[in-house]
Amino acid sequence: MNSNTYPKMVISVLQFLLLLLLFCSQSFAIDSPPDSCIPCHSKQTPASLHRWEESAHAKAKVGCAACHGTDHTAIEKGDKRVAAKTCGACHPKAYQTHTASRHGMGLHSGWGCTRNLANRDSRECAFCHDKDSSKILSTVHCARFLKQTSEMGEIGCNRCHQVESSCSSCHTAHGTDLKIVRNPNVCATCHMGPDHPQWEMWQTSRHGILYESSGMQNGPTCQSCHMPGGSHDVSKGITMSSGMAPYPAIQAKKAREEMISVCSSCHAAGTARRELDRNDAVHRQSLKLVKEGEAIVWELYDEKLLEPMPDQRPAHPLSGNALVLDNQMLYEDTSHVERLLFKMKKYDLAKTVKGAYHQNPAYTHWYGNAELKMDLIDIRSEANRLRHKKNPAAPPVALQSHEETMKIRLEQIKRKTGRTEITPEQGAAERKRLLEQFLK
Amino acid sequence: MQAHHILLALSFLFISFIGGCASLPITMADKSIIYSYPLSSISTPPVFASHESNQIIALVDDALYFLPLKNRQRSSVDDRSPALLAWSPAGERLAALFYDHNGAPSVELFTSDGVRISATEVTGKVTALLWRSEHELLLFSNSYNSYRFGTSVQQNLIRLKDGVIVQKQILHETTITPTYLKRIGIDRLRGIITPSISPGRDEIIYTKLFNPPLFTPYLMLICRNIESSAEYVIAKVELKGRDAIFSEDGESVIWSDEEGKLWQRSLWGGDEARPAATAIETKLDTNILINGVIYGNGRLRASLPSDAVVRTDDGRHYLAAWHGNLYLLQDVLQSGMAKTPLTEEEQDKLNTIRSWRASGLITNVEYAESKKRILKR
Repeated sequence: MNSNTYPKMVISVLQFLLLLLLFCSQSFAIDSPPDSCIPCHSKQTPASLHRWEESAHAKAKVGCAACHGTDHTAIEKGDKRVAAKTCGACHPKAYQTHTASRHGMGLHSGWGCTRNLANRDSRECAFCHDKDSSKILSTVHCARFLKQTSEMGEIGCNRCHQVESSCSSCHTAHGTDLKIVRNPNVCATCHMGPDHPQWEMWQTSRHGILYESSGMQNGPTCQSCHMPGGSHDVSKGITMSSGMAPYPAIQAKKAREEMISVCSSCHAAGTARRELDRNDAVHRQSLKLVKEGEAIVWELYDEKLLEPMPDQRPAHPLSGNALVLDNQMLYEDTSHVERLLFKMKKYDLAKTVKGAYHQNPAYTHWYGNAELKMDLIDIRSEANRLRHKKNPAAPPVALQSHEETMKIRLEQIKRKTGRTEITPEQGAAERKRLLEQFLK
Repeated sequence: MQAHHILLALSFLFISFIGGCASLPITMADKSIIYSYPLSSISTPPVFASHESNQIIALVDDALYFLPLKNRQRSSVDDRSPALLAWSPAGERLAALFYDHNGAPSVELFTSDGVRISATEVTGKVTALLWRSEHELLLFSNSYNSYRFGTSVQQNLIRLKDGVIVQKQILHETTITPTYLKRIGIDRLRGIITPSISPGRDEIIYTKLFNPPLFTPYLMLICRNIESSAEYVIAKVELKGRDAIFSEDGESVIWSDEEGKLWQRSLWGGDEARPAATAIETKLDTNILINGVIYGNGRLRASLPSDAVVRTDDGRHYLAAWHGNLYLLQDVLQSGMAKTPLTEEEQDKLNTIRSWRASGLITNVEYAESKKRILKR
């Protein structure tokens, strides 16, 4: 080494160290404990501060400003809630897995625009739009959300469906203790109640009893099966949509293998496969019952017997005066028979099918299957009542004008063709016959 | 004769000369002769409506007047100045849109004798009045709501029967970015393409405005069957596009792009859009007016100045407003092919199968065969 280059090298090393020191001091300036926040917040929000002080964030010197920013006015207005993408900056893997899973599917953002509904809180815009942007974050719409008041929408819908954009839905705010998210009770906040009581099913199943009596080592929790190894992919191993439509075969096969792999950590793979096959059969049988109920409601609609018909009641928020029996079905402003079908589809189908997959016999049978079958009796009975009430003697369609009758029959043909109850050729022949009558 | 008398006479001659020069210039494309007669003075922007049956022109010249063609003596109907006028199909009723001093709109109906028979308050900025029958009027209106991130525009269709609102439908909703709104100005949104109604008065053409983030705003030209509410997207059109009209048989739509080039497309799942010049030469046998150009019997007959406002009620009767004067265009009246009108029953049957086609209840082939049978009788 040349003696002239030695001092140059020392200078370079010193420059590097100086830069490193500068960088570190900058980092600490951002993430250092929030001395300026603590004096006030130890009085204003002591619990939040205390939870932060005990958290991994405090230990890593991640301060208030790192997540909340420094615009105190905006924080006070509630505009600076910590979004999942803020957490994603430091936890990219968890964030990416979460957003790709069913929890990140966009149920929260894109409930549907509420700006033209009466008496809505303008702050709701923030549900679906970034600040000062008209860009919609998701195109998922929910008719049931659009029927709610601002307050009910916030508490009854968003508090669960904000899971897409808020890690605190499960992790809670300010704390980072993994005990919280490993406790199955954290899932119960949303996964309980009449529409999908997975938590109750699990709790009263053998899995739940073992957990209660022997702890996590012997009793699997929600997280054990649906978030194995701490994964944030809660969709792993699930073979149906959130509306309980079975996935296409290729997708379902892959998911099934994933679930069998999870089950195999405790059970023989063959046992797991046989059990899941049985669950699939219950799923198919239950869907068939619901289809039967749906067909009866469509028939009543075709015969203009619903009380009230869709054009005689407040318009459906997404489909106007159309009859909606799919996942956007409402439980309010509908006819009685639709309300019965709603219970059948939304509550009792879920209890039967999810009860089976969660190994809970009481839910599968008595809360689920028995209710489904009794629902069908109620729907048939209501259909008979409506038909009898409208016209005890003659077929109801005869009450309409010639043109109306033709239209009703053409609509029936269209629906039957769409539901593949008749072939396109049969539909064409039936239309030809009706047009002949109309043009006579 | 004194000098000032000579000066006065010369001034009179000069003014007459200037007045003569200001007559409506029409560019003729063939040997057809179209005479134009100045009828009356008219306010700017011009608001007028004429009707072939009653031969009465309703016009605004700082007040509402009726101008019968037989004597050309205008009479005052109302002291206020309506923003829109439209005669009913048989010419028995005139719909007039007024805004009060607070900007609140109302639609008032007058008989052909000038007697007001109803007044109905409506909402929004009304962009067009179209009659479906002697009793039913369609109103197109836009409602605006401003937010920090843009202005929400709701396009509404309001149906009035005998002056009573029977239905209000939302046709379209969009949010316009502040940048675009600043560029275009809210008044331009009121009717970039004026809606029009089909010959059978069962379908309408209108435009939906789209302003997606990061993309250039555009319009979708839509055909809507009124009874079934079914809609058919005809084409994406430029914001500078102008007129769009139904063909005489109501089976296709003709519109012009921003360069004035005409396009045509069959409705409800027919063909792709095609240049309309060929279509006009081969298929249309009547007069049509589009962007101030009159096509007759398959040929371009005449074109009017771009700043003239030209209207026709039935393809044969033309009025043009230009530089504060209203002109009647004659001889065009006789040039349209005589139509054999359908009976009321035939028209009803035709409109019924059109609504079935629009709702997808029958196929295009089934519709065409059924229509042929209705028209044969």
